[in-house]
Amino acid sequence: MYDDLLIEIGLEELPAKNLEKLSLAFSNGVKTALKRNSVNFNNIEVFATPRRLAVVVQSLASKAADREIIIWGPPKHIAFDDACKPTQAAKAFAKKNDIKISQISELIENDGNQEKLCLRELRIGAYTPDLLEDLIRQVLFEIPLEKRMRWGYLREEFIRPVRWAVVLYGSKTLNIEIMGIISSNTTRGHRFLAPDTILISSVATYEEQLLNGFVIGRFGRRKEIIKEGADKLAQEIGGKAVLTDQLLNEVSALNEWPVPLIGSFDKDYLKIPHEILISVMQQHQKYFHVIGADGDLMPYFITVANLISKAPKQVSEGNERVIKSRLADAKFFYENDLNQTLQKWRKKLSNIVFQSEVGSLLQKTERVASLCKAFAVYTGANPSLAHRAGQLCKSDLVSDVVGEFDELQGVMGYYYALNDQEDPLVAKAISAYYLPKFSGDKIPTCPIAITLAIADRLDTLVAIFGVGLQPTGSKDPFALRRASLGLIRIIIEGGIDMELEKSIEVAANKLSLHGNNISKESKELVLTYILDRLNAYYKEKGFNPKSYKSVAALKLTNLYDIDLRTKAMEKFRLKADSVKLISANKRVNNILTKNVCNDTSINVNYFVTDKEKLLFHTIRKVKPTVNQKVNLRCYNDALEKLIPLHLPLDDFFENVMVISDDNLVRNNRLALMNELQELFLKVADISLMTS
Amino acid sequence: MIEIEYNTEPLNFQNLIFKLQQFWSAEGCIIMQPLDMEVGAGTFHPATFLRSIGPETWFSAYVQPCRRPTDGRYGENPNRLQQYYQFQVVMKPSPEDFQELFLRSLNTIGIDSRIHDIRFVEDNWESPTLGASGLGWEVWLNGMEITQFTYFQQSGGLECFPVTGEITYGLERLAMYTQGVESVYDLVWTESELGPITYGDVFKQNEYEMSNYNFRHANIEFLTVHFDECEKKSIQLISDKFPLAAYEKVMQASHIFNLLDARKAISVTERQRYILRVRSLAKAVAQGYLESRAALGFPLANPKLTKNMLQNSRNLLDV
Repeated sequence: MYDDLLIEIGLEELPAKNLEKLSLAFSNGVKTALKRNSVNFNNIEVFATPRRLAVVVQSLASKAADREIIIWGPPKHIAFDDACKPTQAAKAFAKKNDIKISQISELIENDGNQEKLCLRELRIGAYTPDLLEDLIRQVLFEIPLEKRMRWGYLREEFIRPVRWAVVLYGSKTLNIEIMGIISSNTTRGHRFLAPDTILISSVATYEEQLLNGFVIGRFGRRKEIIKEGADKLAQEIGGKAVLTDQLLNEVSALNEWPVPLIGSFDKDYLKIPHEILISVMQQHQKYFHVIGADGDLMPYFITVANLISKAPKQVSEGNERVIKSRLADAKFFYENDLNQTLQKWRKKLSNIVFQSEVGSLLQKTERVASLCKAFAVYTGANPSLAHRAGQLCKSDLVSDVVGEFDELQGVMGYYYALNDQEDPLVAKAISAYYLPKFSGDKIPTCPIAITLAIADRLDTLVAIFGVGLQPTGSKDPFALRRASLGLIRIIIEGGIDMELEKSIEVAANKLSLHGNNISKESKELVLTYILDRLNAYYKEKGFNPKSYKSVAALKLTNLYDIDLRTKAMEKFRLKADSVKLISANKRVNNILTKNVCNDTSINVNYFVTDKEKLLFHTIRKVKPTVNQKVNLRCYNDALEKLIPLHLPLDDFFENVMVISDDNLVRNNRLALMNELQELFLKVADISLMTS
Repeated sequence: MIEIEYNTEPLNFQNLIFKLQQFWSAEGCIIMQPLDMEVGAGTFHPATFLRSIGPETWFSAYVQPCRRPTDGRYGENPNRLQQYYQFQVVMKPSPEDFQELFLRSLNTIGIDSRIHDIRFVEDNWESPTLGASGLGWEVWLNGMEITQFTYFQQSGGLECFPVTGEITYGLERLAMYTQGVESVYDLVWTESELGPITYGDVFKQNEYEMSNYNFRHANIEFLTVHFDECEKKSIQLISDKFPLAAYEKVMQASHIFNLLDARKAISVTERQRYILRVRSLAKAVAQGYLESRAALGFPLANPKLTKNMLQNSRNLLDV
C-alpha cells in the first residue's frame, strides 16, 4: 500500500536569508529519516514560503520494511565448555535475548572469522502513521539553526514560533503534537489576501489550494515570477533590472505572492557615487536597481510587494518616500565627507582598536605602509605610491558614509582619495585591496593593490598569531582562514615571486608586542597555517592531492614557485611513463633509507657492470639540462627529461645488486643512487606520487 | 472570523496614541503612563525590563518618550530627533495571535493591510547595556521600518520564561506616514480654535535647545562623577535589597553614558567598559528583582506555573 504524505509546518515569518537552507535541511531530514526507518517512497516535493516549510512525499509505503536483526554473542569456545555444555556466558546471552538454553546450541554461525553464537530475528516494520510523530519531531529537532528561540509558555526551541501544522497521509489527517500545537488538515493562506483558514482536502490538491489562497508554495516559481516581472518593468522604461542571485533569493523568501512594482527617485542623486545608491537599494531596501543600455544606473528601482494591493500606486509612492529620505541622508553624509581628507581621518584611527594587545588601526597602517615599501620589489609597484596607499587604506572607515554603509569600505576610500587629489593608482589600490572578498571573487590586478593586499593580510596573520589568537576549531574571529586563502590566490594567480618565510620575518619585525618580538614559534605557525591552506586551494581546483604533497615535501615557501611545480606534477601524473619513473624512484628511496651513503662521490673505476655505467652516463647527460630547466622553472620540461631515466634504471635494478660484498663497489653504487635521488628531488618528491 | 476595523481617516498625533491605547486596553493590557525619567528606549521602562523577568503574567502598553542625545539635529533635520515617542506593548506570555493583534492594531490607526505592503523582516534585537536580547523582526510598511517586534529570550542576563513578546511602534514615523507629511515638525498634533497645532509647535524649540545642551553644554566632569555615583549607589541599593531603587540608578547611569557619548567624551576603548559597567548593574538588578518577587510568591503568576517556578527559582537562589 502506498499513499502520498503532506507535512506542512506553519510559522511566523522565517528569516529570509536562511529560507532556502532551512527548506533543504527540512526536506533532506525527512528523506533521511524515512530511509533510516526503512519506509520506501518515490519522490519528495518541496515547498518553502516565509510562513511555511512543507514537503509532499509521493508514494510512501504504508509500513516500514521488515528487517532481520542479527545479534552476535560470545565465540563458540567461550560459550561452551570442553564438554560442549553452555557456559555462564552462553546463559547470559540466552537470558538477555529471551531464548531457551536448550536451543542455544542451534544458534552457531560463522561471522567470517570464527564461530559465534548468533541470533537472527525478523522485526516486522511499523505502520507509517505510527512512525510519523517521532519522525517529524526528530527532523525538526535536527535541523541545524544558527539561532534558536522560545515563545509563550513553550520550553521547546525553534527558529521562529510554530503556529500550525498539517499532516495528511492519504485520506487520513494525523493529529500530532509538534512544538505546542496539534497538527490538523487546516492551513492558512496569504495573511491579507486570504485571511480565512483553508481546509486541505487531499495531498494531491495541496499546491493548488495554496494557490487559491494566494500562496505560491514553490520557492523557484516565485523566483521566476519576480525575475520575469522585474525584467518587464525595467524594459518598459528602456532599462534592464540587475538581478543578483543573492538578492533574488532573499526577495523570493520575503513573499508568498510576489508583485514587482517600479518606483523612481530624483535623478539628481545620480551625481553621488553609484555604489552608494546601489547599496541603499540592495542592502537596505532589498530593491533591484535598473541600468540603461550604456550600463549606467537609472533613477529607478524595483521593489517586490507581498500583496495585490487595492492601490499599488500607494505602495510605490510609499517606497519612493523611504528611498528619498535614505538617499538624502546618504548624500548629506557624502557631501560632508568630501570636506574631509583621508589624511585627516587617519589620525582618528588612533582611537580604533585593531586588537587590544597589538594596538590601534593607525599603528596597523604604519606597519602596512612600510611593508608595502618592502614588498614593492616583488610586485613591481612604485614603492612610494604603495607606501602612500598603505598609509591611507583604513581612513575611510571613519567617514560618515562607511559609518552608515559599512559594505562600502574601500569603495568610498577610492572616491575620497580622488577627491584629495591622491594618485589615481593609490585610489584604486585602496578599493581593490579588499579583493578577493569571497571564494571565487576577483583578485586585485594592479601592482600597488596587490602589494597592499599582501601587506595587509600578512600583517593581520602575523599579529594575531603573535598574540596567540589563531583560529581554533571552527572559531576564526579575525577571518584568518579567508585572509590566508586570499593571500595564496593573490600571490599565485598574480605571479608574485616572493619567499613567504622571509616575508613573514619582515612583517614580524615591524610588530612589537609590549616591547617583545614575535616569537619564532608564532612565525612558524603562521607559515604552516598558510601552507596548509594550499591543500584546500588545490582541492578546489580539482588537483590530485598527491601533486601538491610531492612538492610540499621539499619544504619550499615561495608560493608562486610551489604552484609552478604543483601544476607540472599534475601534468606529469597523467603522462604514460610517469608510473614507471615513480616506482623506480620509490625503489631508489627505499635503498637509501635502508643504507647510509657515506661518501657521495662517484668513481667510474668502481663500476663493475655496463648497466651501472650506462645509468651513470645517462644521469650525467640529462643532469645539466634538468638543472637548467629547473633554474628557468620550466618544471614540465625538467620532468620530461627525467622520464627516459627509467629505462637504464630498470635495467640497473634488474641486473645489479646495490649491496655488494665489496665495500668500495657498494658505496659507489649508493653514491650513484644518491645522485639520482638529488636529481629527482629537483622538482618534487616524485616517490610520493605512488598510490 | 474576526471583523477587522479599517480606519480611513488620518489620525492626528494624539488621536493615534488614544487609538493604540484603546486597542491594547481592549486586549487586556494595563495602560501605563510614561516613566518620568530619561531613557533611550521604551524597553528600559520597568514595565518592560523588570516585568520580563520571572514567571509572572504581564500585559501592558504605554507611551515612552525616548532620549537619544546623539540623534539631535538642532531641529533642522526632518527625520531625526533627540527626543521622540515610542508606543510599547509587552505581553507575557506572548499570545499565539500576537502578530495578528499587531496587524489589527495597524488597521485601526489607518493603515489598511489590503492596500499597504506590510512585511516582517528578520531583525534580532540586543541591548548590551541591559544584558537583554531577543529574536524577531522589524516591520516594514511599504519598505519603511515602522515597528520592532521581538520575543525576549534574555533579560538582565536571565533566561526569560515564559517569553515576553514586545512591540515597539515608532509613533512619529507612523504618524508621518498616515498624515502624509515629509517633516516630523509638520505633523498635526491636534486641532485648536487657532487651527492645527503641529509637532513643531510643541517640540521644535525643545529640539534646538536640547541639541545645544547635549552636544555643547552638558558638563562632562560633573556627568563623569555622576555616573560613578549612580554606579556606587546602585550597588549599595542592591545589597540593601531595594532592586527597584537600584534600577533607577541604572537608568540614570545609562542616560549619562549617552550624554557623555554625545559630548564625544568617551573613547572607543572606554566605551566598551562603560557599557559593561551598566550591564553588570542591570544584571544585579535583574537578579535582585527576581529574588524579591520570589519572596512575595510571584503574586501575578499563573498558579499552575508558580509552584514549579518557585521551586526553580529557589534552586536558582540557592546557587
